[in-house]
Amino acid sequence: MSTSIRTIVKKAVRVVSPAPSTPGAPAPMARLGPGPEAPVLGHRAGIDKVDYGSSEFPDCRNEQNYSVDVNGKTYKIFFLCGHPRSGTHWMDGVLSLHPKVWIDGEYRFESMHNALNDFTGRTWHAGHREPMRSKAIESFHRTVKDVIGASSADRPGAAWLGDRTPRPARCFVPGAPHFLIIRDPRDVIVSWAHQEIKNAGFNYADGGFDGHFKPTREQFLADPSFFKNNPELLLGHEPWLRRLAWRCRRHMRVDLECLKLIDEGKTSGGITGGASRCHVVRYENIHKDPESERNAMYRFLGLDPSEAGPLSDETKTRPRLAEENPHGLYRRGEVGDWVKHFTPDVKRWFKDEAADLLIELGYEKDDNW
Amino acid sequence: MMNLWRKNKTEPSETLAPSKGVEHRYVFVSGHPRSGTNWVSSLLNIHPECFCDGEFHFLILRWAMDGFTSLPWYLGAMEPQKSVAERAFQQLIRDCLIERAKVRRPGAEPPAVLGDHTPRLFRIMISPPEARYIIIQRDGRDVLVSYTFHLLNAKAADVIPEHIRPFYQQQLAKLDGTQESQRLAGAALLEYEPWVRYYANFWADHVLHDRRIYQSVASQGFGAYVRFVSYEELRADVEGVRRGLYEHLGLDPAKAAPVSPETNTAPGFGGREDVTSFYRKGEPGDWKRYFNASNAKWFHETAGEAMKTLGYEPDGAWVDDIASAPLPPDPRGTQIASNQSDNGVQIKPHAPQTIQHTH
Repeated sequence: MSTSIRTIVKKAVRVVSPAPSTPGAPAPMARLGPGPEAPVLGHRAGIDKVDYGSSEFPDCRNEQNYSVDVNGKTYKIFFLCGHPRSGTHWMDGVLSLHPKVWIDGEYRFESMHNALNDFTGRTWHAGHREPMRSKAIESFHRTVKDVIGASSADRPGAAWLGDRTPRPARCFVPGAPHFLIIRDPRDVIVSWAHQEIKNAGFNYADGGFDGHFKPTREQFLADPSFFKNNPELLLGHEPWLRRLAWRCRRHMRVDLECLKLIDEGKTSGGITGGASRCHVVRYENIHKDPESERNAMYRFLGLDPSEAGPLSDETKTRPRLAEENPHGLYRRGEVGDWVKHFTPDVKRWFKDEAADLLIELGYEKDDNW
Repeated sequence: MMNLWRKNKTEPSETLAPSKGVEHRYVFVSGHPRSGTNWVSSLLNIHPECFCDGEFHFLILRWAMDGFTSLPWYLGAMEPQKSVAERAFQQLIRDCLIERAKVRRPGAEPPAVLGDHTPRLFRIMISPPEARYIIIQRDGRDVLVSYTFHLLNAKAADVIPEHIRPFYQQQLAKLDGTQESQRLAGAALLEYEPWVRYYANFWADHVLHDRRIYQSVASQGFGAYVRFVSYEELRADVEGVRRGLYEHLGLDPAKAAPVSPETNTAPGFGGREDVTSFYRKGEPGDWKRYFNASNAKWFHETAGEAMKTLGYEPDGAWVDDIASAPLPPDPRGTQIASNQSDNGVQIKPHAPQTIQHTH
């Protein structure tokens, strides 16, 4: 068989080849472990800055990169990222208190981004070759900006329009500013476990935990205070805790890798990305001093904080809700709630999986907690 | 593997609106691999006003867009974002096809009709009437035989499902570059029940999916923009069928060049068979040389409904006919009579049999 024919054959047969492996859900296992990886920001003791990257990067200076025209008006776009249950909803509300900001929901552009990677990444796809590849990437950027731009109808006076998908801080649109909210992973897991059990969410279903949790879940659905009264049952199943901790660690390490790349002026978003800048918000800090923290967020977008509306219970923008709602999207938002649910066993399993993450994020100095 | 084709378990009905004010028209040729998508695109390309070149695999983006615009808790599922996203997706496809034409035909203006011929499941990529669709279908038994040799030629174990990969690799190991070794390996795969059932099901799923999507499109009044072509019909009357295809795209058939072996547009390949070639034989009914009572039964049990739907066989009578009919020449030649099968069972040529292979 000639080489050219062989090439054609290979190209054609790979139509049916599987997509490049994406990080799948790990099966519940006895011990996943943090592995031998070095700290992501190993040259630093945890996250030691608030702003990563620079507005002086060429991609950031060129506002056209992250602007969209809608009905003759130009809007700039930004992204709010973070692990699920880290406070992205809360920050969304806080940012939207400013009349020049509108952010109200999740787009999940990463699914399109992943598809674009497949579309352009396989040598036998026509989209792999130039200039089709660049054209497809340009179209992706336009799609993201146009779709977010469509939300301008909800606040025509806004200057900034945002996306609040709980995802790692990968930059898909060069120059676009990002917010990354970081929360103590132990509190994240407590909040996440409530939500997963209540909704029979992805981790609950995919991990096959219904067999273990079914009676517990039924009691929780009937009585929202169930885990408050039985705190040891929320995380007391080893494969469950290990899975949540493992996935949380993986997500947050990607966040740290993104911060490192952003700080170095490199792309954190693969083929579609570029240089960007990122403002890190600590959930615990905004609890402690919400006014200072939110003012810094507005200033990061070049806005005057004094124009923002006040924090209020009505807008669910005050730290710590007056009433706890274990079934709700806004459960309570308490800092340090994890201590009620971390039995000695849970602590041990968590340390196996993610002790290094706590140190790198600066929540603990060592394993002696 | 194969999940790339099947990962979207839902089949959202197509939501279509006629497009207006277009610069080009577009054509998407699709079908199960080894059904003739290359042939159809070659026929289109001998028309000076059409350029249908390249496998873009837009379906990957289509599926991502489905997820983006259909999950109710995503903003992309709400208006106006949903419509904006769909328009942007269609523009991405236009951009890619126009760029492709510019690259492949430097200095020339892209012709009126631009297209893609990825062998894939049928989905709407650009709304009609701006885009037209051609779906080519072929007898699943011929597809099975052709696809089997195609996969052998590709030597791509990574695209073979795990449960049949070891046996496939055993056959690959026996290839020595000769037509004879290729034929023997192909025949062995076609007598391996898990192989036959898997790829019969793969074909059946594909063609039935395409029918369902077509129903959805037709129910919205756009059925006229989708044309089904059968490989067998094309073999029997290439001139008549291609005339219909040009008309389907709004092109004047008289402007098309004649079919020729040089452009891979003439039917068949001179009657020869090259089992190591991308263009193996192209002969309708060639499956009869590779089917016996056993694999016919497996195929019918797996894909009988699809065969009926496509009008190839009304029922399973053809399986009985094979069992009782005089045996055709064995495609493996006479050597096999003295060979052992993989598990050491003596194979008797022409005898209906099920060979139990160990993994």
